[in-house]
Amino acid sequence: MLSHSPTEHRVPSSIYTVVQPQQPTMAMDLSSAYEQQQEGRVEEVFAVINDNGDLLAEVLGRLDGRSLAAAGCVCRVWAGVSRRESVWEAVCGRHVEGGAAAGAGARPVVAALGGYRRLYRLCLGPAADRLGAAARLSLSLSLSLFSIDCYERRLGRERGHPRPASLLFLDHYNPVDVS
Amino acid sequence: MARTIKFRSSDGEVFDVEEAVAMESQTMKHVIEDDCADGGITLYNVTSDILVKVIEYCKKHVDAAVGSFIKALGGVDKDLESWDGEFVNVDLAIQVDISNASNSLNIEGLLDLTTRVIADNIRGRSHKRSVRSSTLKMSSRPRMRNGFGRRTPGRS
Repeated sequence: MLSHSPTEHRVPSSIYTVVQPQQPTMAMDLSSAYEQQQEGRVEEVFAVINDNGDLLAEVLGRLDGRSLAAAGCVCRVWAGVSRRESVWEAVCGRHVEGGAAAGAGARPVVAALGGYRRLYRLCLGPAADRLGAAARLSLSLSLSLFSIDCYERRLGRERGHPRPASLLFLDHYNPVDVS
Repeated sequence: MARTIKFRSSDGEVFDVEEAVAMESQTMKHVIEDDCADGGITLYNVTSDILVKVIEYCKKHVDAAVGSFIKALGGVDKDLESWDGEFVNVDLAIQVDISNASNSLNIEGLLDLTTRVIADNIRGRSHKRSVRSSTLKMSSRPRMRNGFGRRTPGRS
């Protein structure tokens, strides 16, 4: 049996510490002070964007996938807009051969398979990481990969298999051999 | 002889714009084609300084389209591109106002240009940095203070 040591009952002091805002010191890089000044000007700017959802959707549709995902974590307004299919459709259109115009007819197919956001996360995003940002997949290839994942999920759920694994070969940081 | 149309900004200034220049805006194109433009058009959500810039953009693009064969052959007009680059080399707040105006007036080229610049500004930011810049408190809706004030400012 452990003896009662005085330290066991002591509440960690970190709960009570008040975090002081970091005062800019001379040692800090001067560029961060400039950045704070820029931030002040940027704040009033975003007020106009936040009130206009369509404008925000136009702006977010021109980001790359990673920045768009980060933008969805900013606030509720931005999260709502970044979840729109049209925004992710614009992002996907830039990674597909033929651009957005070619992919317009595929909209019902993509919606049935799980949406553009999922398409980017599973197929186009990893492919862009592996092949470089300028590379483009063909529309049929990206839809084929997407449908593989969709059916694997569905069949796996029926048979009790844990996770779809066929698309792991696309993973840039940890490619899995699925041969 | 080109017809001119009067545009009135939200703060009352009147601008005379040629019809061809005004047709750059799809919204205005429909208004003009429906013969509703005789008495002048009032733009309630565009201030005069922004309207000046928008008209400047439309005029430049109309002139460039008329006088250049490069566009007709499907090439890229380098002079126009560099002019566009200079055009958006302004304060971010003005850029957002211009993009707002081009969104409501439906000027595709200007909307694409300005939103691309704003997106370049947002790109690569961590979400923490964007949170500091654009939290809900920055919305222009008035916030209720009496009796509903929050203890910690800045978090809703």
